[in-house]
Amino acid sequence: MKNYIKVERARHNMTQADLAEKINVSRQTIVAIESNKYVPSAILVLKIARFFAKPVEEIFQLEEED
Amino acid sequence: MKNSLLLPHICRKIGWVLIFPSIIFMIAVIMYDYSVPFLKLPPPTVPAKTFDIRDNDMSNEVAIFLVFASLFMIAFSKEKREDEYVASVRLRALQISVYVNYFVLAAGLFSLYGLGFLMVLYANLFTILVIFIAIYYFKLHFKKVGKEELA
Repeated sequence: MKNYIKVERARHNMTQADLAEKINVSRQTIVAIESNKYVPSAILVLKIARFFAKPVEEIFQLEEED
Repeated sequence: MKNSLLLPHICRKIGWVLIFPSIIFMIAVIMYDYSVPFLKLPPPTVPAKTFDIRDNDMSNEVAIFLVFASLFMIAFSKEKREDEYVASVRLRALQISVYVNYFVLAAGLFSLYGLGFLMVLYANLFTILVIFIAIYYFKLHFKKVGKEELA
């Protein structure tokens, strides 16, 4: 799954730690998601989307192999 | 993500404080026959049969228990911030450590016998916890993933 969290973070001028703080997860989680090492749960995906006030599919997108 | 099967975060610190004295105590007891006077039970009253292998010293039991307890506290305490990724790293580390534990056991089974194999079993008491802690900490705190990355 592709994600644009990094782009959104840059747009909001936030560090990974800031974002983690806002959606109440550990910083490692954000790092792992951004580097495509971890696929977040539906709940977390929805939380992130809500935080950036965007539809889920603008931040998370399926890839060919998914 | 609520995982009620974990100890409070503070237990990790207690574990780290306890682990080193416990290990030193265990080595002293097992390798150098050190024994704590107040851990000696009164001698058995039932007369011994031909070979008396009864042991009325609790030092070794207490030593091994202390090492277990502190490893357990280090391994299974909550992170400051528990979430699903931490839970997945924990599960993965647990799986790998159980695998490694049995690989070591199987390797020992075919390459050692007698007392040597017994030593492998002895070490096996701790391998699951030790390997778990190593993998869990490496994945969560020391890997590239742990480094801060600014926007």
